[in-house]
Amino acid sequence: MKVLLAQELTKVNSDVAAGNRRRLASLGVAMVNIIGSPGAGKTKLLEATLSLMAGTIRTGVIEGDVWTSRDGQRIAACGIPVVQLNTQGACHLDAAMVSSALDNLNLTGLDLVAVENVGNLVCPASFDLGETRRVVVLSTAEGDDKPGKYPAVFRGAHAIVVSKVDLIGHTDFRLESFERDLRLVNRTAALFPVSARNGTGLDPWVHWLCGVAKSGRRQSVSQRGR
Amino acid sequence: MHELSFVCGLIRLVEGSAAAHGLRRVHRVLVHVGDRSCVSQEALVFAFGALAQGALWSGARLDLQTVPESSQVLVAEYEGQDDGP
Repeated sequence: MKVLLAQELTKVNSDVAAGNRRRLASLGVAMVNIIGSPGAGKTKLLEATLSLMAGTIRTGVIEGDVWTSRDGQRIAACGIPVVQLNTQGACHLDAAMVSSALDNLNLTGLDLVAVENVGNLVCPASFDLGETRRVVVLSTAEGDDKPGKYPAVFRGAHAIVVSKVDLIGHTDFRLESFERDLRLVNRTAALFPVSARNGTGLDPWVHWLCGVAKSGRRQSVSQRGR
Repeated sequence: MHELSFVCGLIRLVEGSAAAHGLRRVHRVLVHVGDRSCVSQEALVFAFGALAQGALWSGARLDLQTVPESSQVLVAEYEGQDDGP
C-alpha cells in the first residue's frame, strides 16, 4: 500500500514552534532568534544591547551552547534573567528545547525574549523556534561574501547585524559588496553595521529591537480586544 | 548534522501515519530534497540507517529525489503493508 504524505520533515518542529508563538503572543511577549557563526559577537552584541535597553524593555535571554554555560554567565552578570540550554553536541536549537526554556522564564514580567542560537550559519536556518523576528549576526572578519555562500540563513532573516565594524579597516570586508550580495537573497531585511565594543551604530539597532518588543505588546492588546 | 533532526521528523511522521493505517512494515520512503535546503543527502542516508530501527523499519529503503529551486525537504510518500491474511 502506498501512502502519500507530502509533509515537511521539520513539521514536528514547526508544530511545536507554532505553540511557542501562540503562547508568547497571548502574553504580549516578542521573541528574537539570533543566529551567527561562533565568534561573530552574538553574546557581546547582547551585552551591549541589553544595557542600552535596561529600564525600557524587560528582556529575558535563552542561551544556546553546545557544552558550556560561559555565555549564560556573561548575560547573568548583566542582571538579566537567563536560561542556559546545552545541546550536548547538537548544532542548532529546536522549538522543543526553547519551549522548555520558556517554562523557566517568568514570561509575564517580560517584553522580549532574546534567543542566542548555537554558533552556526547552516543548521539553525532550518528550525523555526516560534520567534517573532529572526536576526543574523555576521562579523566583518568573516568576509563580505557570506550571503551567497549561506543563502538559507540570510534569506530567512528580518535583520542583519554586521558586527565588529571597528575592525573593518583591518579586513577586506566592503559593506557595499556585502549589501549587493545580501540583496540577491533578501531584499527587505534591515541592515545594522555596529561595533558593540565602541558603541558605533548601536542606536538604530536598539530602536529596531524595541519596536519588535512593542509590537508584541500591541499584538496581545488587540487579541484581548477581540 | 541537522540531518539527524530531519530523519527524526521523518520517522515520527511515517510511524504516526503507519499506525493510523494499520501498517506493520514499511518497505520504502520517498523524500524530496530541495536543492537549496542545505541538507546533505549522504547524511540523510546515514542517519536513516542509524535511526530507522525496529520491526516496522526492517528492510526499509530510503529513496531521495532532488527537487530544483526548492528549500523544502518533504516526505512525499511511503509504501508499507499490513499484517495480511
